[in-house]
Amino acid sequence: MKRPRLKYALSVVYLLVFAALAFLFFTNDFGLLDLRKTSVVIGVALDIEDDDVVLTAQLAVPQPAENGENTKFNVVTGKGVTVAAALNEVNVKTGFYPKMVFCKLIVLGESCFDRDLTELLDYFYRNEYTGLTLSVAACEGKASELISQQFPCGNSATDVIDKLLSSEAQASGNVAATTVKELGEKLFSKSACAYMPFLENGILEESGGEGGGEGGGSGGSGGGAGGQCEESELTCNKCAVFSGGYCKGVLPKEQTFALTLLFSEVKHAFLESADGDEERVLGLRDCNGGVDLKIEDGSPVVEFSFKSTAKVQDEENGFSTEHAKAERVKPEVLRAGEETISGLFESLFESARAMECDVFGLRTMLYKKYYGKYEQYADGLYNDVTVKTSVKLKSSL
Amino acid sequence: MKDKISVRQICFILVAYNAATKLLLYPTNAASAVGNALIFSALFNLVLQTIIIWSVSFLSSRTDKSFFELLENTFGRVVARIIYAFFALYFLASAVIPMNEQQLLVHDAFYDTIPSLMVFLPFFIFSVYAGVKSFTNVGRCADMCFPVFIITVACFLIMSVAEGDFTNLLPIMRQPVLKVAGMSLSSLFRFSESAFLLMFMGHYKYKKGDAAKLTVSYAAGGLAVIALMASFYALYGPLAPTRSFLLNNISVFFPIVGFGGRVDLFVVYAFDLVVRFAIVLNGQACVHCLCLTFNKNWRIVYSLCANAVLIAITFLANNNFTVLQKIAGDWMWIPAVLFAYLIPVLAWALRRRSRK
Repeated sequence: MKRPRLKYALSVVYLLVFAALAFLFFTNDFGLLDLRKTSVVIGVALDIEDDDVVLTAQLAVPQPAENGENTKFNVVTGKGVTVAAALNEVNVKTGFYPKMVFCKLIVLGESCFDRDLTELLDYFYRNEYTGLTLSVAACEGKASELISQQFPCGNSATDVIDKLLSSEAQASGNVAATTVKELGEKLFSKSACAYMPFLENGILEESGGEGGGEGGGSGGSGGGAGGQCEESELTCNKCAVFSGGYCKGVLPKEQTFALTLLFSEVKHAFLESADGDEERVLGLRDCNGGVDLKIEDGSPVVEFSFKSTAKVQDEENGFSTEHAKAERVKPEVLRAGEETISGLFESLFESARAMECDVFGLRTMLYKKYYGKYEQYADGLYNDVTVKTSVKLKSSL
Repeated sequence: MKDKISVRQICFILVAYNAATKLLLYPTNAASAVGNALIFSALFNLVLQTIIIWSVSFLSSRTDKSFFELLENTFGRVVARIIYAFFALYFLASAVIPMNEQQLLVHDAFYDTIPSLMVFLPFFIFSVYAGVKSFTNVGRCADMCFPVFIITVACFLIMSVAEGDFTNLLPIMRQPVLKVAGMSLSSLFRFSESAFLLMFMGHYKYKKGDAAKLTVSYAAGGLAVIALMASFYALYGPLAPTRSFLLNNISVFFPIVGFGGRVDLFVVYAFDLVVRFAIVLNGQACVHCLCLTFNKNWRIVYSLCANAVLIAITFLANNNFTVLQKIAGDWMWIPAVLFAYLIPVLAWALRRRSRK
């Protein structure tokens, strides 16, 4: 008789514990946030002023959807010793809990070039809510002015820049886009060198810029603004190179193009090539580039390789039905294109050597592939290495 | 034979549960300690424990007795009960780290802000309920969990392998050997499934070739862990120590996640279900040991008591997890060596024939 009673009592205890825990569980707020009491940070701009970090956050503030415009973009600035301190000031100013999980862009102003990038971006590497997929770009002048600006295409500066750094733009080889993850991997590697797109803004140069400042300008139009897209003044076909965390220079667009041919997944690119007096543009498809480091006869050899199909897009001499008819690209035209690309690779290598930046990641390659010879060659690698190029273009027809 | 469990079900446990609890904080800890040699640290432990698993499963071919009966047969009932009481404590202690890691994973993966501890407490309703159940139910749960595990691990691998740069694992074995050995030692407690196998002894009918099946199953589960760890390091390289959990970070660079949002969290959620069953197996083994220790089948009492201790530890460990992790890393290898390495090997010395 005792055991059924004990079982009954224990069942009651179990049910009571179940009810108590269920009560505690369902009376919790589950950490959910009221969308109207928050703001979503979609992009941040970083500048350095008086050795402090100035963070300008572009916020998307959800609005009641009455006229179809359900998002307002505000710009708020915070200042602090580090990014986290500056972000905290943004919290103080807005009263919102800013959600960084949707942040997709970091723009670094020129003033950040003298600050160690690994220290500056420390917050983004530690904070898992921001993720490591957000794009990073540098810009001339103040990043806060750039992100506060209105552009004819897109709702916000972040959207416009994000489009410039899109996978489509990368596929054309015009932009050396990078993410926080890629940047970190390179900066924390043996090469300690990374690059990012460099944004140039024609409008800012002419008018001297506007907006920005502490407290930030605000505004921005709602979604679905009509009108034709005008030509954007913002360009990012150059790239800023960082070594040891500090900016060492900006590569011109030709060298940036060479860099993307080697390291990006370029699907369709245009190459300006000259054959004697005749200048033409070749369309490159199915591009496959890469860099390899070898030790041959006791000395390091770097080989830049590139393969693609080519087709003449247009020529300087003008259109004629004779020239334009579908035929295989002449071997001399292909050779001229190969020489142009080889020249771009060699010019990029010379720039890297002059800037003392291991943009090709040769030291990392040496460490991974020839660990035993790392100490021997690492320091003088760019002076001792023999450069070889292997560029092969073939007619697309 | 009471509390019967089949060899197939034990194989599923050795594949799925083995891998589930090792894919929480362990990969990040290993990456932090030994960098790109993380897989070698894990491989050493896996090989060692696989040998022990083979030893225990092969012992089952020599006797139909349970481990308790072998102890009783050799040392007498009192000593057998005392040893089982220690095993109960060991299983309880073994549950602490994975349970807290799973709590942190849920907070990290599914919440924007850190939720209160209360959100986690309903886990113990499940844990108490599962603790009451016998090995037969453990086997049925393994049958359910195995396909979920296979699908989720396949998804994780598909979503990560193509995105990673496996040259990040180079150069091979260039980390100081002592450092790698230190990591292996501090993570030895995570490779302790032979203790469960000892408990299953006598509850399944051994057939020829079962030792090989069990050993291969354990190795397969371990290799799945190593494959995911390699993929994780290939993906993040030197940044791997900055990511807390492999599970919610390994698939973020998969193209569909970029376009469609964190759809990979469905996979994380499904995998987390397997993790829960793997964690409560400790409680179930603990209750089994207590039943034999006290020779009373008061499963619900033991389950409530064991979970009360775990709840108390959860409250104490809240915001102090790093301390708990340090203690486990520094000291848990000692009971792990005793209960999951030495005793399973020494079990061969126990008297397998009944006393006259």
